Amino acid sequence: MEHLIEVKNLHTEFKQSKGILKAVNGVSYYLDPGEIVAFVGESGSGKSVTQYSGVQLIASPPGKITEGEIWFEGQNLLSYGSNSEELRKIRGGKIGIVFQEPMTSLNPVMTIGNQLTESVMLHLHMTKAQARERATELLKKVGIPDPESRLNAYPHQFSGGMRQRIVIAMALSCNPKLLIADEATTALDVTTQAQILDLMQDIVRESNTAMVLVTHNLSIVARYAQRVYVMYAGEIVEHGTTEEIFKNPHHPYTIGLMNAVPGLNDQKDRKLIPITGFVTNLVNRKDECAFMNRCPYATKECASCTTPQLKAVPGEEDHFAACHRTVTKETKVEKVFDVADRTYVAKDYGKMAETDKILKVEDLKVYFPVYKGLMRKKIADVKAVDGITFDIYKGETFGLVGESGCGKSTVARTILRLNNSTGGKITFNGTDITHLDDVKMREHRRNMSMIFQDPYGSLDPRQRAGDIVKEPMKNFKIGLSEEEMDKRVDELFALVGLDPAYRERVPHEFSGGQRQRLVIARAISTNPSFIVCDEAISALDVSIQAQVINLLEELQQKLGLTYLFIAHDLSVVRHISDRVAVMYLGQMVEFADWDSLYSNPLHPYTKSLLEAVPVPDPFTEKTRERQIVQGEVPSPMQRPAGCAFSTRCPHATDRCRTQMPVLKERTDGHKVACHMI
Amino acid sequence: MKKEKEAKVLTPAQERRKQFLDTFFATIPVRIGFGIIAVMIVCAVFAPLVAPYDPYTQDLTNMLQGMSGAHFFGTDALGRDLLSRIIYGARASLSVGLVSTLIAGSVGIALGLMAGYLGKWIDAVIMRVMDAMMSIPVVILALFIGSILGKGLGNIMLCIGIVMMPGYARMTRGQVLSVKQLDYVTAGKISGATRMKNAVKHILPNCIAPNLVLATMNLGTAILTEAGLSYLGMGINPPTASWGAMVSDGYRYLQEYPHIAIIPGIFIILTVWAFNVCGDALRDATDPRLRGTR
Repeated sequence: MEHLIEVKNLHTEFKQSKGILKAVNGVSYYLDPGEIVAFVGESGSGKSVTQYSGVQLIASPPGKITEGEIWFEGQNLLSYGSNSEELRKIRGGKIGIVFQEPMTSLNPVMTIGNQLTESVMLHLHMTKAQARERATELLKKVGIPDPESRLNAYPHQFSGGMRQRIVIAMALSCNPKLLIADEATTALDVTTQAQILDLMQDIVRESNTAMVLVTHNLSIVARYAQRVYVMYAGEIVEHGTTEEIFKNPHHPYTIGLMNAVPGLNDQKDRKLIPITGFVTNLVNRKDECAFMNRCPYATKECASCTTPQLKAVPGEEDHFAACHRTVTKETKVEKVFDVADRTYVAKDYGKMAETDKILKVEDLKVYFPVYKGLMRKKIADVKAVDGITFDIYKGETFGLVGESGCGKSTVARTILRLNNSTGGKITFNGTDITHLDDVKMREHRRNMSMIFQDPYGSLDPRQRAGDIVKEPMKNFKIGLSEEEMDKRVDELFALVGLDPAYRERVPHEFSGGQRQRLVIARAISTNPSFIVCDEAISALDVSIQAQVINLLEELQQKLGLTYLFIAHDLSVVRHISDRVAVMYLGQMVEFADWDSLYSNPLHPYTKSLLEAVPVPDPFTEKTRERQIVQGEVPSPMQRPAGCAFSTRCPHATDRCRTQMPVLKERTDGHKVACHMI
Repeated sequence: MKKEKEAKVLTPAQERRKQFLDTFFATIPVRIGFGIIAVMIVCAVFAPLVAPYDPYTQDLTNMLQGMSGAHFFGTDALGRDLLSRIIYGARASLSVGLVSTLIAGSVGIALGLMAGYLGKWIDAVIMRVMDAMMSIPVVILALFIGSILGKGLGNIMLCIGIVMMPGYARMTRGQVLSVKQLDYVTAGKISGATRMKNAVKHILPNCIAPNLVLATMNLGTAILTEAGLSYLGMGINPPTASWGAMVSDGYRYLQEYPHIAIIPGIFIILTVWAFNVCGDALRDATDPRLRGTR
């Protein structure tokens, strides 16, 4: 059978000052109509470049497609120039692309109506009126309410999820045969992600379009894709149906990826095994296995062989792996990487005394005033945090989850006194710190610290690694001499797994994971007892995520740290937390220890969050019953009168819409704010 | 020889210096530009030793001569040797350019940092004063300030410095506003840095780069403004030589003897170009992200 698109032996190179970077090295793949195929790999694996090479969207120079054939509907696309008439007709016409960042892929100064009609008129030769009609139809299809009037709106008037829907509408506008979704949902919340992916899946099924799903998220692959290509260092290292790949992965990298991600239905004491080391430098690459340096299964023979080619896995149809050895999950590893066994000891909160509380937050309120008009009159408050109460005990990990815009980061920043509270009380180590001034607050800052989401943005680009780690020690004058501080920096570097020789480097000379280690080293340098991790691992690749999670846990054991762990990734929160609070629109809607929260979620919002998270297991995904919550978090400016979740809740009654539920404690300590329970 | 070089182990400080110099001198224009600046400064400092004639001696029998062996760049309307005047003129022009840019840059950046970081009424007061200064044409403002301060080289530097200040203040304020909400400034606060320390250590260094570019562009403007002010009688008194004044003197003979105006003009252009390329290279060399990439 002829495939819709078939790529043979594609090579893409980038010319750099130090040599030639082979970003795509002999990649072959195909797609059939109506199929969803995933390309998985970490950043830098070449999955996006492969897709962009296919439609010749790579910057040239320095990029160049040096070899290969791309057959699409009987034509070899590579025989056309990248700006040729033929290719322009296909790109945006027969091949639609959805990019990662919905904010930057829409033109902010054009109405979405004009942006949609533009390509329709160009590719389908429609008149303006026809094109507008088509645009309305498309917006309706992707679930934008009131499409006709929304055509005249500008991109900034839509939320992130809505914008991504519009980008999808644009990609679909000319009835493409192939849809490329490049990390299309990575920047979105779990519920929105599930909505969007479901929408794309429906559309693809309806119109028999093929879809390429480029992602780093294995769980998404498990839920949506039929076939998977696993990419590493610009090569396809494993290929097969989703079931085969998940049941019986054969490439060490695939196995490594699966061992590194936590899932929602894992054992609590499951250890995450990170993939150590770094991707080999692909500049002037050698003809050898690129994964060798990180591979736990590599033997001496691997070093003497050339680049392994994809070969069929014995006994399985359509399953190929590029490895010299035949490796399965059960194969004994050659190199054992040191990951301590993890035993989870549940904490007995009944026995804890008042003095064990490191942090007490009582009825915390944070309002941001909104001013309007010439006289800057205060017209309203944005209630970012509206009365939440919780305690954190020494040595525990307190998870805080919720969609973006629900106020989790504001809670963290207020606890650290980075912004002021409107009401309530924060007690840290027995001292009321709610209204301390800057000078007095500094005495307490020594004991509290923070790890940020973006490991690059939280490091001053002009400071050296050693100075960055030394800064808190100097500022807090912890009474060490210069030499002692230097020694301590070396110790801290070793503790977080960085080579002390790197202390002279500047942040951009580190990789993402190393940078986050540096941030952690700075955070623990003054021996604080309490650390806020604000999305500390969200920006990292899965294998590095595992390293950082393990490091955080190890440090907690060694140093007795207490974490406030904020994240939107529910699987990670489940893995690391002792107790978890769920926030929605500035309020806490549910609070329990991790086990009862995940096994017995009570609040409809918690339930819908958990249902939206895909599990890295295609078999569970198939049988799982789930109901994706619709809509998005309303703006805190227009908070519903009753229960904040009532606008999206499937069980909402009139009482919910008018009366605000309070957080009630059940007998087992599980707290929930819902009228229905 | 080569082996010896490889075997030498550099201390981190030496390594840094080497990286800095390597990045700075990476391109050929920078080397040329740096050479031009160096030669000019040496000539200006040792003008009495370098100049072939006295720049003030009038020789009316030899006026308005073209280029020759005796007078390399010819002579002006009063028969003064142009080369000597250019060498002496470099003293005034370079010092006006450098000092006024330095004044404008340091005060402007400090004001911008204060306005952007402290905000509130401090921001409002500083920026409205800067806006008011920017709304008045440069020469008129300079004449006004000059009339208060009085004539003289020092005053003209101060005067041009004040006039150019608002540009730096605005540029810095804008940078500060974007830098101060970055995570590493928050991290500084959490790490116990006082407001002052955070501003000086984390914000200021990350706001300098665009100011460097602005400064190299302003250098030329300063030299030309000095010429304009001198022409209006505000600046340096004749017969003291300055390039700007020489251009405006030569302007009268532009049709018959164009070289009198063009030669000092070429020197102004050369200086501005040289400072521009060096400024860009300095910006790149001080940026740790670019260091070592060239």
